Amino acid sequence: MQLLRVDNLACHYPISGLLGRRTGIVRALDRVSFSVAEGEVLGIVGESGCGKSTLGKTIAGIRDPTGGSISFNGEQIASPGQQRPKGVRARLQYVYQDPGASLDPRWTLRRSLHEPLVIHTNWSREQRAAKVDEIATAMGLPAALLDRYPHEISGGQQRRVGLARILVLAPQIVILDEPTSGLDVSLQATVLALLRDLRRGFNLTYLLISHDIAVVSSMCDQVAVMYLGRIVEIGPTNQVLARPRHPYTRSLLAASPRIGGPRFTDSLLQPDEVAEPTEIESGCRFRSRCPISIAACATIDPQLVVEDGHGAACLRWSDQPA
Amino acid sequence: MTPVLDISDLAVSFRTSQGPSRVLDHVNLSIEPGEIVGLVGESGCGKTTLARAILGTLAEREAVIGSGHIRIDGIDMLRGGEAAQRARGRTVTVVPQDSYLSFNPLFRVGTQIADLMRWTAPIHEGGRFRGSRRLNEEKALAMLAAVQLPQPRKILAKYPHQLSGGQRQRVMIAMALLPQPRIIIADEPTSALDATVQAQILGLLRRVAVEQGVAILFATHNLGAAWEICDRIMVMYAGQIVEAAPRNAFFSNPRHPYSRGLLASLPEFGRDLAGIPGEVPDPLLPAPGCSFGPRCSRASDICRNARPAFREDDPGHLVACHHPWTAEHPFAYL
Repeated sequence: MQLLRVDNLACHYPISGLLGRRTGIVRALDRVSFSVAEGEVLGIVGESGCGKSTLGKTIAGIRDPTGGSISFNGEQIASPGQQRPKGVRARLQYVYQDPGASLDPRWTLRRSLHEPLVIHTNWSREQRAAKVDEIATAMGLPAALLDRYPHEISGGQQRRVGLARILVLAPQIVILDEPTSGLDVSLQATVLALLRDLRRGFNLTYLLISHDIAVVSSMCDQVAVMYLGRIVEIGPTNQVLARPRHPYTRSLLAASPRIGGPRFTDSLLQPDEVAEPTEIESGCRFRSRCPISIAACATIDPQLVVEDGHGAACLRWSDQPA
Repeated sequence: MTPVLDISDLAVSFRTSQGPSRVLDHVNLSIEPGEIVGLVGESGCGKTTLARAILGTLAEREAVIGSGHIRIDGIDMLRGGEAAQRARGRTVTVVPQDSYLSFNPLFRVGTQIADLMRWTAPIHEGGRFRGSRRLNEEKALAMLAAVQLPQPRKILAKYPHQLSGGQRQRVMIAMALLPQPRIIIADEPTSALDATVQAQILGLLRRVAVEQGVAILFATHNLGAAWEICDRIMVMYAGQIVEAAPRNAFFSNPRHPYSRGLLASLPEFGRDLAGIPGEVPDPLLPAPGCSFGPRCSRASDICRNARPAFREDDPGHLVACHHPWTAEHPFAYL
C-alpha cells in the first residue's frame, strides 16, 4: 500500500534584489514525484544544495509547496494554499540531525517525553505515563534514568530519548534528515543500527535524507538521487548501485572510495562544480558536468522514465553500456 | 632517506582543574618526503593535538610536553627557538578542516594571498619591509591554476563567502603550498565536502605529494579516504598509536581489534552494521592495561593489567595488542 505519495511537488523561492524587487527564482524543488510503500525505507541522496532537505521539510509541513501535492494514507495533506489536516503531524514526524539536542535542558527526560502527548492527545496523565514507560522500555532506557536531566546522561542516551519522544506518538513515517552526518564511523554505525532496530520494532517507514551514498545504500530499500531540485534516478537500491542509469549517479558512485578497489584518484575527471539552481535556463540540469551530453541535452528537459521499477531522467541512459 | 618529520616518544598532557589529562601517549611517527601518512582515529583520539604539537601551536599554559621530540628537517620544533619559529608556516604548513574559519571574512581572497606572500617572503637583512604589499598577481594566478581552480582571476577578487566549499579548500591548499613546504599537515581536509568534491581534493593532495615530493600527514576518520591516498596508515586510539602499517598490508590484514571495528563500521549495501560498543576512555583516568580493553571483544586478564607493547610479526606492520588478529582470520570486505 502506498503510504506517502508525492506528485509534481515544487518549491520555488523568489530572490529579492535591491528594493525588494524580484530578481530571480530558486527552484529548490521542481516536479518531484515518488511514492513510498508502508514499511519501506526510501533514501534520498544528493550533494549540498540539491534540495533534499527542502523535500524533507516540505513533506513534514515545515515549508509549504508552491506546486504539486502530497498525499498521506490516500488523503491529500499538502498542496499550494492548503491547510494541513490536524492529526497528520503526529503520524508524520521529522527528525533533525541530532534528536538529543532538542531536549529541554531544564526539564527532566520524563517531562520531555510527556510533552508530545500533551500536545497531540487528550489522554489522562496515567495513560500518558503508561505510554512513556512502554516506549522507554522498548528503547532500553531504564525507568530511573527518566527522572534525570539531559546533561546527566551520555550523548548516546540523549539521542535515544530524543527518538523516544518521537515514537510515543506512534508515527507511521519518520523523516530522518542527515541522521549521521558529522559523526565518527563507529558512532555512525551504532546510530544506524539503532534506527534499523527501531524500524523493525515499531513497524516504521523511513525517508532517509543523506549526502552519503554509502549510508543510504546500507539502510534503504529504494534510493532516489537528487540533483538541483530534481530526482534524476530512482529505483531499488541494489539496482541503482549495480546498474546506475544516470551519469550523475555514476559520478557519485565513482567518487565514493571502495576499499580494496581501484583508487579513483588514478582516474580523475576535470574539476567541476554544481551549477546554481538559479542558473538553469533550459535543457538538462546536469549537462554542464555530464561526460556524455549531446546537443539535444541543451534543449530537451529530460523526464523521469521508469522501466522495470527503475527510473532515470536522462536522454541517453539506454545508450550507455551497463 | 632521511625523514622529513620525525616524532619520537612524544607525550603531551593538558592541565585541567581535575589534574593532568594525558592526550598523547608515547607517539612515534616518521614521514619520508613525498609520502602520505594517514592518521586514522575517532574524534577525541588526539589527531588534532598531534597536528598542533607539530605546528607548535599548543597553548603553553595548557599543554605540558612530558617527553619526546618533534623534528622537521632536523629542526627541533619543541625547543628550537628561532629556527622552529621560522619553520612554522614555511617548512611545515597546514590545510585545515574548516576552510571558512581560516579566512578573514572581511578581505578579498587576493588580499589574503598577498599578505601570505609578504609574510613568507625571505626576510631582508636589515630591512624593515618584506616585499611589496601589492599582490604579485602572476605568481598568485599560477598558484591557483596549480590547484585546478577555473577562472583564477575572478577568484582573487572574491570574498571567502562567495566561494564554494570546494573552491575554498583548493585556495587553502594553494596557500599551504605557497611557501614551498616540505610537509603539509591536513587535518580532516575533506570532511565538510560533498562526495565528488572530496574525490577531487583527495586527488589534488595526492598529486601534490607525488609531483612535488611534499610529505603529507593526513588526519582523518574516514578509512575510505585513507585508502584512496595514503601510503601508510597509523591508527590512533586514546592518544596512542595502536597499529601502523603500509596501506596494502593494513587493509588486507588489519590486526588490531580496534582497526577491524572501524572497518566493520563502514556502511555498505547488504551489511548489518555493528559499530564499536562503549566509549572512548576518559583521559583523566588512564587505565593500567590496554586502553581499548574495555571495548574489546578479545580482551582477557592480561589486557586489564599490562599495556601491550608493539609487536612486529610482519616487517613494517606494527600492532600494540596482546591478542591481535592474524591472517588466518581475514577481514571480510563485501
